[in-house]
Amino acid sequence: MEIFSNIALGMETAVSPFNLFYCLIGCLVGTLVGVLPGIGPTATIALLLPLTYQLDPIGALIMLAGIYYGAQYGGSTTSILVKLPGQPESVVTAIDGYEMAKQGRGGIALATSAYGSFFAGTAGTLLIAFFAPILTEFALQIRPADNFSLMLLALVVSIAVAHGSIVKAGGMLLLGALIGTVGTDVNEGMHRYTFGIMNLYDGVDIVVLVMGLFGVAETIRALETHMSGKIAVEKITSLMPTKKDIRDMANPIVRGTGIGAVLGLLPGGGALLASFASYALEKRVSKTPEQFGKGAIAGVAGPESANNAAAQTSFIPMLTLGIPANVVMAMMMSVMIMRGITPGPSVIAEQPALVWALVASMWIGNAMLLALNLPLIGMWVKIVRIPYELMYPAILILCVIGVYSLNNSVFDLYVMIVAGALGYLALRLGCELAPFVLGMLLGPLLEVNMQRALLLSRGDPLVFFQRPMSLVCLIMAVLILVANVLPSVRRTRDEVMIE
Amino acid sequence: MKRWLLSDDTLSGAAFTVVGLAGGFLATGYRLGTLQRMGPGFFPIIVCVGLVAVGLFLIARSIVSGTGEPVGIALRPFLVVLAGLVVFVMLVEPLGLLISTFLLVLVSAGAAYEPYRWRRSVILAAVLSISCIILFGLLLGQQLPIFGPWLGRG
Repeated sequence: MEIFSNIALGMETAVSPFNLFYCLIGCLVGTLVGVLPGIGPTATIALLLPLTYQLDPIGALIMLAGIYYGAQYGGSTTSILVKLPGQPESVVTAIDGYEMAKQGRGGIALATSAYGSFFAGTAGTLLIAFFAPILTEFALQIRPADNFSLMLLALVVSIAVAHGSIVKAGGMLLLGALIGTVGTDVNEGMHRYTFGIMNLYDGVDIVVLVMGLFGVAETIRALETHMSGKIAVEKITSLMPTKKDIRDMANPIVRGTGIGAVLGLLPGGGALLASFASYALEKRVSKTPEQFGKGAIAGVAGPESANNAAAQTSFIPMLTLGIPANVVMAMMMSVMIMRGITPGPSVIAEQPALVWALVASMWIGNAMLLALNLPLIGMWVKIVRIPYELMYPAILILCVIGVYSLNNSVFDLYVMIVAGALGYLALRLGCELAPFVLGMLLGPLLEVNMQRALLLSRGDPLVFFQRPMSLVCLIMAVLILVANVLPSVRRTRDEVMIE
Repeated sequence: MKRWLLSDDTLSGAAFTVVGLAGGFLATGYRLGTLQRMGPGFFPIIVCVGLVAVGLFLIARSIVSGTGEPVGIALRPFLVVLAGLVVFVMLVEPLGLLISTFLLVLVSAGAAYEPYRWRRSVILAAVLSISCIILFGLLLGQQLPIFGPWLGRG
């Protein structure tokens, strides 16, 4: 069986003492930063990127994956204990999780989230090991026209799942695509939008922008609300779920994992959608729907498993097709590109050890989280209690040092400040930042594939409709757009988002 | 003042439109090419047309339906945080990591304290800048000098 030999190869690399150590550090530091209220996984990864600069590519990716899971887990912890979800994915968890915490069952909610995430993580890892080779075969047959339509679909999905106005998300996406064109054009060497500034000839560094947008801008926004004052943390008594709790959580965990695994594959970001869909489903199939919103354990188990499974399977489009499903994947992808590895079908063939070690370390990371985080919960609670006013200057330091150490460039620091300022204004205008980042990363790829497809078809734009896969992607993209503009669908979407 | 004029929809729409127009104008200076051989101006033009369309739609929707929300900006954290960062960036090469991180914290601490609290801010700045030196300067081998050339060291 190929899948087992792949996993074995990955395990061999991943369990080397150094890589295990990187995975452990990643999980710990990721959770540490992730539990800070107001910092989501994206900002966590951006802030902790400097830690990985000196590692070899495998070690760096393993540590980043650990940081990602840690940050996700940390985000769930804050949303359960203080109802301050650090990321949209754990907004749903906060509903019933915080209610459970108020009833003194916070420990059980955390344990539920940990078990659910572990189960989902295990299933997700197996799915990746199973599907990645198949998808790679398939991906090798993808032509530029298909690639173009696939990326377009990814972008459409990413604006459809953005919360807030879809039109504004579309605007942000186009803005990102425009910024993505800054620099030297690949075909003709023309300088676009560089204004004669040398530092812009290679384009704007996406990591610098992400630090500005998710580090600086989000900090300013957080300062509006957590200006001062203590954060009240609910007490934790028992961590051990009763037999009844386990019965109540088992099915939601399995269903959540299923939903998450499927939606995570969606290019454009399924984790958020998965957590909402799972919550809605659990409420519908539950025998006691009136319990939801009042501390139903299924309301924690389902969405937590769903978003973790989706987080896991969202690696698949990134690794096999080179299409990042969300901003975190965009960051991972840019780290790989920085190291001279271009994600896509050829990576799995050329660097099997790297890919499978990453997959294996995902599972190891999940196991570490389960083993470490429940015993360490007391420590996380102490960190949650640190007032934000003592915290944010440290975040700013991490931002400036992280950006500077990227290219040793002061210019990058100015870019980060400008991105932070404009990012905050965009947030105040109700514009989400994630579509911007995806547009910026996918814009140039979209352009290249469009050029290639049209060159191959001798300028015939019908090529996008003649290849079956391209056609299917375009039809899906149009359907999703139309569906979101229809008033009735939009109302349900808004309701789900508000709920 | 009309209510729609300063709503988030109108302002974001105006921003998208202006960027789209400016970007599109600049892109006319790049070769457009043909469908078969797209020039460097082709893609930016498409993107900018899209931006202008989105921008105008937002403005129109705001005027017609008036659903835009008023925009509130927390000026104090916004300006103070940015000021702290600018101070750091201007001073980090001449003065080195230690003093510039100290000043970054000292200035940006003003975002949370109103009125400003000197004692707390100085202590916080000292603690954070020293731990930053230990973590990044000594442990992770950060490239920035701890003391910059203005302080007599290279």
